Amino acid sequence: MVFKRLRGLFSNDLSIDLGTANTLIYVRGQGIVLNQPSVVAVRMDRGPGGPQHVAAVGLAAKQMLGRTPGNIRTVRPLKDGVIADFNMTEALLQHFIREVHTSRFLRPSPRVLVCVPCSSTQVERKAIKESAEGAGAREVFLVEEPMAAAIGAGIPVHEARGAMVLDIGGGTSEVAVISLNGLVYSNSVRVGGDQFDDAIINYVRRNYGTLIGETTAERIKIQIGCAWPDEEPESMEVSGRNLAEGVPRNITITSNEVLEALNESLSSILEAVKTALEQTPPELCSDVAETGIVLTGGGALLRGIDRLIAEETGLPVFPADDPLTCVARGGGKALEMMDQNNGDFFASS
Amino acid sequence: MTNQRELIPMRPGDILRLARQQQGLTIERASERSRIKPSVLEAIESGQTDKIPSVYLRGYIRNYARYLGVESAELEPGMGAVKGADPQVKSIFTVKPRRSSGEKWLKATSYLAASALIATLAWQFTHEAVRFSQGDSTLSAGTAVRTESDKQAQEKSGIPPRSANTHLNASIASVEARGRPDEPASVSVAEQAWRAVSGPNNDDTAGVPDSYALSITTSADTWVEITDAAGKQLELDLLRAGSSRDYDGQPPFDIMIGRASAVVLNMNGDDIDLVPHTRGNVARMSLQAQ
Repeated sequence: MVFKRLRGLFSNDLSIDLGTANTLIYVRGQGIVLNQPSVVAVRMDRGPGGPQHVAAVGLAAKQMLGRTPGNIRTVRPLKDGVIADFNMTEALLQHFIREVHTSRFLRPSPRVLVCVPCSSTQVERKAIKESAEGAGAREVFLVEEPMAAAIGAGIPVHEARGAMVLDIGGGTSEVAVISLNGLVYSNSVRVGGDQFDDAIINYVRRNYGTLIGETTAERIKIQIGCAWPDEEPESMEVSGRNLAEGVPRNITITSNEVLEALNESLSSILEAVKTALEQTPPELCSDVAETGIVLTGGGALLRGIDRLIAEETGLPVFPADDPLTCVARGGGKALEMMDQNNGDFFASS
Repeated sequence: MTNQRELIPMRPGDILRLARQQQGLTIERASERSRIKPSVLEAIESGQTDKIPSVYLRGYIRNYARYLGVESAELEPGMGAVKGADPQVKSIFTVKPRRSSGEKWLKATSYLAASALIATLAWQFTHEAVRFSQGDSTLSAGTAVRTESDKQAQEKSGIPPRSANTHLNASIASVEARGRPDEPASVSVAEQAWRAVSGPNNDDTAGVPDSYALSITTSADTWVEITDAAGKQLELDLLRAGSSRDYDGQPPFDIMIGRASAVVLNMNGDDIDLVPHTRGNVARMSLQAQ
């Protein structure tokens, strides 16, 4: 495209945290300007198999989730941190990139930095890259999520000193040891906020014979979810469909029950952290033992998760400030430094 | 002591030191139990926290407080004052900046080029519009003057008359007409001087009135545009049925009447026949002095 470079002059550089649950966009020089759920609602006018139109994106689409009539389908185009539906991801990105560019004079053609899970395969990275290019990006850079999370949390990543980050996102949890602007060790498990929700749904179905939706499960997790037993358990009343009777029923669930539900998912995250500590070179391991583990991502907001990991590993563990936006802010900082650091942080695709 | 804390928000370091001393713990023992380095604990208690990155510092303080059993509500008011190091994102190796300053110039240049292009187009457009409207009104005046001047020129040099119908001639006429106003002006200045010398009513030409009276009577709604030789817009309006208006101006008049069949036009008491100038009930004409 001849005009791509010219259009690029009038576009802002973006850093996109394309997460399973939420997409955040950081605009160079402006900060985080967009934080919306990664959900697309598709309208099929002539029944299934007919032409598809994007009906809503983001928050508007999330409100439709699980409440749609036959001709509308809500899609979460990302699963486990990677693209599950290529076209929908492209539509999502296109919509968001347009949204952050107020100028309608030229079609935006920004340089885009996208955060990818560290364990994503070459094929998955290529898919993300192509989808961003399809959405109008003129150049796409990839940065691994734990790296962005560490920068965003304020860890001095350029020092020759090990630091451990645990990023618990919507679809994946990533643990990484960082030193000298690079990942020394990284590992990711496909357990995150979504799996917590599923675990709660399953628990309620098994123990109460009641079916609850994803949104309700998420609300339970946010309000009373915890990872360390409470001395005074909290409780919450939710309604779902009773499987035996087939009618809506109210049930009361306590925080300790939620803990029981989350047990399995939490132990696989713990397992990943322990493996990381085992695999880390001894010099860095001693650094990590001194400085501790920083938690980022939405999962860091789960009550008592720092306590759980601290007790299990024997290291100081603490959540970062504003953990939900760490990756986006870190991507933003990397973006601001992009022209100076010559791509120190960028991952190969 | 509780009262004192409520009055003045204490620094988290002081609260933690007091709590530790109340429990009779040494720094070393507290460090062992809370898994935080003794040097860090000392720094927190003394408030010398400039070297510890904020993300760690806040975590250490909260963890230490939890270990000592201090309620987080007591610490939070003072947490805002705790300042740690805010590490910058740095490159390990020094590199040349990739983005050259040329890009900034390119951006400025393209802005300039775009605005220059728009300005040129706008100027050309308005200029053309002005020329077009001027050409329209002076065209008839031009031809009128030309016919006279042509006749004189013909008499002098015997050059055959040029066809005044062609577009080229029309535009030449309009250009000539624009260049000409000086001549009649100088003539009229001379005339006036002569008139002043010879007294009133001596001149034959005094009988020709300078301004002509036009009057329009309409029997139906019609759009009327009248411009006089000086380019003055005498009328530009929709005249309602049954209205009658009078105008004074310099001939030739440039007249456009939207519904010629419903209009009676009168100049200096003579009715003007609009039929020869009407096409599709719209009359366009240049009304000469009679």
